[in-house]
Amino acid sequence: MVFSTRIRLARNVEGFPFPGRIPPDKRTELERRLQHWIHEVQVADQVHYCNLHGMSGLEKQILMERHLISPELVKGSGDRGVTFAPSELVSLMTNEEDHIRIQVIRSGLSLKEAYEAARNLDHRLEERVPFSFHPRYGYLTACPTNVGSAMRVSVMMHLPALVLADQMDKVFQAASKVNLTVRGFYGEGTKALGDVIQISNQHTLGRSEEQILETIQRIVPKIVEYERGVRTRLVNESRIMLEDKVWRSIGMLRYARKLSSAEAMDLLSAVRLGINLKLVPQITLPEVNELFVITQPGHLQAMRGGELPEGDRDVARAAFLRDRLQPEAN
Amino acid sequence: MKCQACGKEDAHVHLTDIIDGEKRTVVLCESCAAEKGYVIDPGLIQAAATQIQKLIAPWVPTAAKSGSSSRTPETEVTCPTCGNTWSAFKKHSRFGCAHDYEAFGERVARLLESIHGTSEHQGSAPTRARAAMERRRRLAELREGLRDAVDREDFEEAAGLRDQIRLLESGDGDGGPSN
Repeated sequence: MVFSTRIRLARNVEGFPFPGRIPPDKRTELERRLQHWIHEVQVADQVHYCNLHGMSGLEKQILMERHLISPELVKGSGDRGVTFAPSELVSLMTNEEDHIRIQVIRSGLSLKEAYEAARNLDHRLEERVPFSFHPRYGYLTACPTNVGSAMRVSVMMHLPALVLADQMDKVFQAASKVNLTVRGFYGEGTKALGDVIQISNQHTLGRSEEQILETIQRIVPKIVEYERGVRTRLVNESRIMLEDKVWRSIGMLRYARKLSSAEAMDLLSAVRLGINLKLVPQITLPEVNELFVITQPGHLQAMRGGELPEGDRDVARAAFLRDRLQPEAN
Repeated sequence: MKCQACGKEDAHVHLTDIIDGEKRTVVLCESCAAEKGYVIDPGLIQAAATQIQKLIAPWVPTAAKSGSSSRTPETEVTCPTCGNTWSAFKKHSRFGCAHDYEAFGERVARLLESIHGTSEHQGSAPTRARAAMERRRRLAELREGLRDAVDREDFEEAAGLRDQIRLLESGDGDGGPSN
């Protein structure tokens, strides 16, 4: 139910305008210096750095599907980059909306662990980099909604039963009561594809980091309980409807000739629910999680060796899923 | 939409006739309508316009109304470092550089209050700014204590707190971006 926890810290460097207003030559210089500092800090034993300036659309798409970069960094222009560990559990975007965005991901609900890792990185960078900080307003950011702690905590959750039972409104209401927002799979402003939502703090100023974490720590288990309760109810009261939905989805995945990525994610979401409820012994959770990622447009095209127009992609996706989900011959 | 009679002027007059149960609408410009005997009293039109203006006045920013409570037109402010202006900020919702926060003054504080419910940072600080943050918070605590003591008419405690405040304040200056 809880896929992952993500902690993001935004920081800006003194002496440079924010990325939205920085002249190209200064941007290039800053990107180079940030690279140098990040390298010094030794984020991990091994790191990859990509400068998105001049990168193909497909490569950017893949980085985004892996949640290493945001849609905003993809849409941006000029020198900007991402440094990440091969584990993909830590990534630093440079010259996105702010100069630096540290991102740490951990699986499940692991707020303390993720926060400590992010803080540790922040401290090591701070020893070398003069961060813009104001005694009244805190860490200064390009967007006023991020100022202060400049920390965004997001927990990614899979809530198929709540969606099925049309109870997502209650989740939105419960979240907004404690100033948490609910967003879709790719973050700000995206749809809830595959019944996956992200819950994050709305405010970054006026609360300590510990207070923000505590709120999320309190609410997420309640939502998990809620989802669990609805799943139990569905199994007890509407088992046939559930089984039908799950097996129809498997049927579509096994036999359809074309599938969009949105369709595939919704179908896979139903399969995942079926596996959780022990209705589908033939398919495993790791398998379906992997399929969730590699049927996305960037990954699919990379697997097929190159860019494909959307129509061809949908056909390729269906073919790939048919192949992967064939019932095993006994 | 052009006048259906002369085809030249813009039509603002819509005339609807119901003849033998059938509804027909004709659109005419003011001169053609007048020619056909439909006299429009300009006074009536003006009165209607004023009524509508009154209805929507609370939501329409006019020269006399602005974001500031002093009801004077907002003056333009420019950040001396990056050249970003307050109106550019309002348009894009993005600051140009760290110095905008000071350059735009109290408007920033008010904006942050409307977004976050407060304009005071309570979280962590970079090591070099930690001492200043501690002092700042201690001062805020003492000032609140002082207000409370005065309310309770405990002037002895108030005097003690006031002395502590003076002591803290006499250190390096408070406020402004750290460096």
